[in-house]
Amino acid sequence: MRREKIIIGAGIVLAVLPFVLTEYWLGLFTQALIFGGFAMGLDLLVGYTRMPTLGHAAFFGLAGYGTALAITRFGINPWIAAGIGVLLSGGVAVAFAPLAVRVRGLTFLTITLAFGQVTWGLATRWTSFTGGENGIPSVPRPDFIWDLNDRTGFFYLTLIVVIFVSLLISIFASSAVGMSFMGVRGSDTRMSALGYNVQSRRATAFIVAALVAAVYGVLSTFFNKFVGTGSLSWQLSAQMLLAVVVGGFGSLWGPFVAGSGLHILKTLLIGSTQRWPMVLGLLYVISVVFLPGGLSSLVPTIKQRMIHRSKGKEHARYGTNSK
Amino acid sequence: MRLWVFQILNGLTMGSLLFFVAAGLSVVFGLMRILNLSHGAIFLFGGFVGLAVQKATGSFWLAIPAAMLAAGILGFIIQKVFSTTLMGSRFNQVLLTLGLAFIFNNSILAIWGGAPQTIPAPEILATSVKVLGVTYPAYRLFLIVLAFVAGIGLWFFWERSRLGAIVRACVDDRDMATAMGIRVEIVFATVFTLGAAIAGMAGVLGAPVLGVSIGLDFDVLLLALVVMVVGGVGSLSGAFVASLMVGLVDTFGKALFPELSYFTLFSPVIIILIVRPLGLFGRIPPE
Repeated sequence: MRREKIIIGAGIVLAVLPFVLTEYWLGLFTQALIFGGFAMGLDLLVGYTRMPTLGHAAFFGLAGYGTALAITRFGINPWIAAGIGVLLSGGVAVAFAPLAVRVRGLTFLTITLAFGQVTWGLATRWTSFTGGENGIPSVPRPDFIWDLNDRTGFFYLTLIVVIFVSLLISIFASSAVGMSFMGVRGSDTRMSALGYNVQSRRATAFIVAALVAAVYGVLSTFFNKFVGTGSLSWQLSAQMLLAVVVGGFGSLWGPFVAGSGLHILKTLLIGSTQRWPMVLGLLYVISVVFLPGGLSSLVPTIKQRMIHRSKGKEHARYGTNSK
Repeated sequence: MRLWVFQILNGLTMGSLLFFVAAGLSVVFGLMRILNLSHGAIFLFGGFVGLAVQKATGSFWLAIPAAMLAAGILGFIIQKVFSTTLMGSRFNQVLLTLGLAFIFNNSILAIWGGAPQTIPAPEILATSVKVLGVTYPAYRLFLIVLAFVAGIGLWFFWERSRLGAIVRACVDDRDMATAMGIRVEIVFATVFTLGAAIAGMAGVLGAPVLGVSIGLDFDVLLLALVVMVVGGVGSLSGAFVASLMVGLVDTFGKALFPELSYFTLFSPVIIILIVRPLGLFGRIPPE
């Protein structure tokens, strides 16, 4: 329950942002929340089961495209269109996951990358339907109790969705199924010997992460009133993978913070230079070489040091095994 | 009919180029279980170095050894500097080399700019030849022939030479090879460097056909990855067959269904990998 309390607490703190930020920064933070949430969902797959995917932007983008196409091409109500978008991504994930999780490691990486490129290729080349490189502009936002066309209004909708989805992820992660994901990561031979169906656990993680990505993909499309091929690109998948790594596998909050931070950093850098890929690359190298545990590994280390200091030498001697 | 011959030749050209990139990637992976995602960037680096040398000297044939040297040095430095991480967990390798790929990509952009460029084919090959009823650029035929010659040459090296036997021994059973007194780390450094050098060469060889431009590195990497897993990691003959297959499927997909070109390339790949995760010729599970 501790994690759920922290999520709600953090949500309440973030609710003051519209009172202290300018329009520009509020927009940036709205997007940061979206990408943070995306990374948090991906942590269930990458962090909990250690399946390195380079194609999860596909589910983010598919949902966005599904929603935008339903509204602009078929004149469907935005709320229903949002449902269609999430169902589209979810449906594709349900069909693809059982096949993808049959392979592991490098083959899994290649398959997810190839799958992502298929969706990206369709969006780029099928110009007559998807708008090609131009994407789909002027996607209207849905009507709500309050005005969503107002930056503050949209921020609060985003915040509510993020809190709700994060709570679901958190509860799911500490459920029996969520815990068994960690078992799959630790040793799948042992897990199958214990009677768990390892492949179905992996598929579940894959689908849940895809659904989370889908929800945020829809939200992102509404925020930008636009969806483009960038939302399906493997660079976005790579950025999300990095968020999980920098944040720390399996901590959930780490990837959220890193995902948000990376988006803010990216937006600020893209505005001024062409050096974003360089920074992304350096972050990869630095985090792998110097911080293999990610941001979240720093917290126990700091905590441990404080304990050592207060309890003296004895604790330091016995406390080291938790390192 | 003419169109088919033309497309088949185009597919073989593409496949030949892929073979040079994928061979290094696959053997390095087979040997040390290291997946080098910066291989595509090394390919592009070779292309740009070759371009610079060709511009300075006017010689295409000088550009090739220069690119091989530069790419080889880059490969040597990578495996030297990051050897600990590269030998560590698979996950970290992937992330590290992906990071390097981004860094190289952006450095290339900073040094040579983003405008797509090309290296003209060497004069002696800048003509067209009639083959099977179609007129086809001589340079592209040269590439196909070169890939077959290199394929056969590499096969002999791999299967018949003493050095090849040592590399194969290391691929099959690293511990046993070490026990037999083979210096695995030196074999590894050599193969890694050679793989990078061959990728750099491919960058120059491919330039008259594909050009050199930012973004090509990731396209080529993706195709080479596909070749490697379809052919079976660590298998040279697998890489050869899969290169030609991928080259042909890619070319025909683009020609016949331009709107669905990625779909036509990757759907068969996904199916092959699901049915046969080891790849066509593979013996090592690519995990």
